[in-house]
Amino acid sequence: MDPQTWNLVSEILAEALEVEIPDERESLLSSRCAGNPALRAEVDALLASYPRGESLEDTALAASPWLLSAGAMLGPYRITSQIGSGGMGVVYRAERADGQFERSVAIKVIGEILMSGDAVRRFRAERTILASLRHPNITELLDAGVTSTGMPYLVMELVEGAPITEYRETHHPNLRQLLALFREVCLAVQYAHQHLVIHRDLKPSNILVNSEGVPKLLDFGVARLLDSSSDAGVTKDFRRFTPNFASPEQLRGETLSTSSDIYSLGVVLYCLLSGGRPYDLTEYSFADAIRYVSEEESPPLRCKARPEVAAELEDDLELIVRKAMARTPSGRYASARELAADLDNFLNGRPVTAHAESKGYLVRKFVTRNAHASAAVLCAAVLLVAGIAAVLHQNHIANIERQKAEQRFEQVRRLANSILFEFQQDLANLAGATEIRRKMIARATTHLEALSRQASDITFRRELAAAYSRLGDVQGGENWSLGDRKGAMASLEKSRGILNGILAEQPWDKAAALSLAAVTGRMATIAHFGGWTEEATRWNAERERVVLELYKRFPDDEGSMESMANVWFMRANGRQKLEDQAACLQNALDLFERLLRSRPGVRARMHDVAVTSKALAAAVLGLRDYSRARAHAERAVDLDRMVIERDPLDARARLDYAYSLSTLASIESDTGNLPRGRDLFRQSVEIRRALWTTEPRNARIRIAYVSGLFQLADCLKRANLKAEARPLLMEALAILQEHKMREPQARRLHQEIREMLAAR
Amino acid sequence: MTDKDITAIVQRWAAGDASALDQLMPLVYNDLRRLAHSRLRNEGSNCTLQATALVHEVFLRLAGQREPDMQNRGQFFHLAAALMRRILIDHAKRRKALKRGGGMENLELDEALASTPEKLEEWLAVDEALERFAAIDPFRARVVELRYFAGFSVDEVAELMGISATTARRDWAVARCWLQRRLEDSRRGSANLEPGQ
Repeated sequence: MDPQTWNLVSEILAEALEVEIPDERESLLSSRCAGNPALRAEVDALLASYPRGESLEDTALAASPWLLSAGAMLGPYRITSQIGSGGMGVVYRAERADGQFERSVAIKVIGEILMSGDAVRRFRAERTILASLRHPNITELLDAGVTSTGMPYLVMELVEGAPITEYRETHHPNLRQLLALFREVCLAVQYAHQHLVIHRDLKPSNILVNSEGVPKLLDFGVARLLDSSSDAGVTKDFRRFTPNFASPEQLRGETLSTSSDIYSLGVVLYCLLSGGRPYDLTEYSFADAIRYVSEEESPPLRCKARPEVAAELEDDLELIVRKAMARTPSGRYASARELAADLDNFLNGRPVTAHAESKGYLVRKFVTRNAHASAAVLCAAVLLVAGIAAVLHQNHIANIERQKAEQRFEQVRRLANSILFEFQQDLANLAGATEIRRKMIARATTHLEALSRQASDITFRRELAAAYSRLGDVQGGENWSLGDRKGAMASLEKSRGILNGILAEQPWDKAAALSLAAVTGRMATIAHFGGWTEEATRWNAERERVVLELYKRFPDDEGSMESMANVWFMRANGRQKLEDQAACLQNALDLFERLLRSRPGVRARMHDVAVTSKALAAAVLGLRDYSRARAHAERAVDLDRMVIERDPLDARARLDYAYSLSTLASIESDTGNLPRGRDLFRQSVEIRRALWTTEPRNARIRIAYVSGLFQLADCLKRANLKAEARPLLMEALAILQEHKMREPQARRLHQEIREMLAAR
Repeated sequence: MTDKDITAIVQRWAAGDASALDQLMPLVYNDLRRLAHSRLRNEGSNCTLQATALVHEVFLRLAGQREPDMQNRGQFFHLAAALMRRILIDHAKRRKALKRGGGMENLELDEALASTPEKLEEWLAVDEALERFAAIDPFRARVVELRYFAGFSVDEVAELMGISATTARRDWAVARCWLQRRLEDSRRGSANLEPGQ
């Protein structure tokens, strides 16, 4: 068919496909193809070919796709019942179906958003940050995902409780109890703000109080999480937040800072104190709502205040609420903690800072509190207060700058974290990915460098230390594949510095000590392979010091057991006598086997046991304890094979397996079983060759291949097959020379290959 | 990161700034992976791994492009889709060659895609039919490439091609008629050619 004919045919075809009713389609076709039976036949044939049974993605989504019935599955969760529904979706009670955890969870399925592409990526990055929020008064985000039809869902801790305003009605807390409760809410908000997460939809129904009277904040950062799906950035959708509790800047659709949450807290406090609401915008249009909150004064709190609050105190509370609800962020409390502190002031009869502008008020307050104070003290107080006011003013300016900085900080931090952790996990064990990883990591470092100059709180420093250690691993640690040992050392050194700083402040911080043990261990390993003996000794010593202390304190902790096992392993490296080496390795192996028993099937644990078994096999082989050597080598081969069977693409596992095969091969050939030894060596070399082909620039794989060739050649020579050995040796030599390999191991191989070639 | 930013990076890359691809990768990585994932969804158990391997291959080939001709995000995804098609077809051809005793070139990818043998013939047949379709209707052929080989949804195809979703849906339906007929014809044809089988 030529393009012109097709043009006509496809036009009629397209029209006909739109018409579903057979009679109408028939009349369309007969009029469009009138007098041209060939054209008609062509269109008919094409229509007949139209595939029936449309795939799901072509048909419109069902009317309420987020309505799930009991028993439906979302990831590993099984829906058990519906808890509630709202404008955006439905909340379900669910439980894990894979039996991993017993507890029930709440799942919120957001039906109004369909995510794809960029949106899903942002959603995931955001989720990672939210999941790191851990606070007793903040419900934990356990998991989040996107359904197969593109609807985001959030898995959260299930909280049984009532909205804080309802709690007030049913439990009748007195003023002091009520303010103490609200203070806890403020401190939880403060915690999230310190982690650079803004709630954006604080309201009574998101602040539940459970049967023990503990407040729990729901949906922290969820508004943002969902906004991350819209390219517009800022949503002006009433359904995404509640106008009655939203700050004026939020209603106007401006970029939000933590101050917007302070405003919402102010509204909630107003509701708690008065039992009513400062205003109700539910029926307002957007424009009217904005005008109202920007221009109208909300009715004074005292008209509705509780009878038990004396008029004078009422003034203070009203000022606190008004300061929290100031129209512009600069008029509000700079942080939720300041709001909480001012409530403390109120409860303890100290001046509230909401009054700071009025010196007269402060003096009055001072006098009521210290009825017997002398005139001199009074004068001193007035001077002091003037000084405090000046400092407060400076702080206020600093806070505005800080808000700007925090926004930028948050963006950079999120980007760096997702590059370092999210993508890396996907890439880490795949052959061919090394180059891509190095480039990504290099970019993330630049950002981290910038962040490290601003960081101060411990959580962030911990994160930064972890990031630097990850960077070091990729630069040259994990499998030395990039060979940038100097760069790796510099990164690890940074991580070490940060961790030591944390430990100086919190001497028995287990997590920091464990990380420090891991980092110094890594440094020792790199130094060892780089041939920097002195450094290796120094880092090993530091590591031993940290680990021994840790193991002493937490002998049954898996982390400290693992570190201790690693110390035994490294100690073996330092021993001269084979007996001592074997003893150290046996200690390490016992611990590693114990760890594997507690978590069977965990890849890293299997790897540890395999590597240690291999080393122990080599040591006892030197002691001519052949049966023990064979047993350990076979254990290593079995474990490594299990890992590969589960994940055949894992380059590192394949290399490990190749090493295990060679260990067993040496034992076989040393015990005179040369044919089996040769077969095993050959298998090992084949794996190494395949790996080197996919990653020709990976220095570790290259040297593994060269050394495999040498071992096989050595075995062949012993089996009197010198003719077969020679080409292998020549190939090994050529690779060493072509790539100018200079590592100690490469030099040793070079020497041995030359000797073997000369001795023929 | 908006589409505009991606477009700006794509332009720098097209202008010869190789480092732009590094910046682009994290931005489009998940998009591509989702596409690869949806493309491979019904084909075997190890889908995530396959998708990852496929995307890596796309990036390796992107990195190998000399002076890519593109001005915006849409064209970048067109290129990615074309590469994805190329990779799947190359893979299918290699598998067929292997059956006849040829060697494997790309171990990683072939292992990853190994669980999809029943799709190989379909890919090859659609590829061949699409080649012919492109000769008479290059525009709709592009729709098919994005939809069938790269796994974009109809709405995404519409956005990338700069047409309405309705038009995209109609183009996709029309193209499917043509391709389906072509596939049926060639299946009948090959049956006739091999009477002994």
